[in-house]
Amino acid sequence: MLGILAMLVGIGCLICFVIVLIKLFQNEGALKGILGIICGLYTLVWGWMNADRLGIKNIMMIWTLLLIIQLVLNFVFGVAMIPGYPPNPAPVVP
Amino acid sequence: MLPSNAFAPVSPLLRDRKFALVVAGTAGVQIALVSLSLPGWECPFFRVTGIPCPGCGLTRAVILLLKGDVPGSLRFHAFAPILLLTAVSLILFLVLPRSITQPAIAKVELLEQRTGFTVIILVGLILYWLARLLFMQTAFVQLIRG
Repeated sequence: MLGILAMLVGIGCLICFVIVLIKLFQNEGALKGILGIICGLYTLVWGWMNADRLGIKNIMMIWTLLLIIQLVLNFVFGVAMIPGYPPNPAPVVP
Repeated sequence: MLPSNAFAPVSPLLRDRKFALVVAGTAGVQIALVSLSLPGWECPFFRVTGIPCPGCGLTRAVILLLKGDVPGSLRFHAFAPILLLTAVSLILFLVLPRSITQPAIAKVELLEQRTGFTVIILVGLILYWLARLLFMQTAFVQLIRG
């Protein structure tokens, strides 16, 4: 159940990301578009900074909400963003 | 209609202090969360498709670089030193007074337009990603998955 929810949230995030990325390519050119692919955070920040001008405030709000849900799901259910990081955690000494 | 600075993407970022501050701040929070093994920003592309994007592994590569583990960092992402250098420059441009940064930004813009170094770096990054996907896909995916 939680897996399906996480998957749906992930798909929602991807859709919002692609919508904002298309806007980024259209408005700022290919190079910043590529920068947006490489660094999703850049796309997120750019989207918020230009949300009113481009009329994508609803998309940005949905995306941010989905990101918060994703963070909460990961945090509550103990799944770190990157499994196995740090690579060699210090052993817990009683 | 593309803006006139479409082929010089770094200098406008340096010029817009508010935007640069938010980008640097979110990147800093992301690095802090990942280094503390807490959940942070996840690549939406990798999460859904299972295929790493061109930027996947960069956060961990930068953290390893900050810890002094150069080989480990380069194993994760070869472009980490460039990203770290960009981040340090961004912070410097944010901290230094405008009287110093404005002429420097103009020089960066001129350099970007004349040499096209940003284009070269970004195209190189895409080629690096394609090479990793084509020639070492399993190892690449496993490395990113952790």
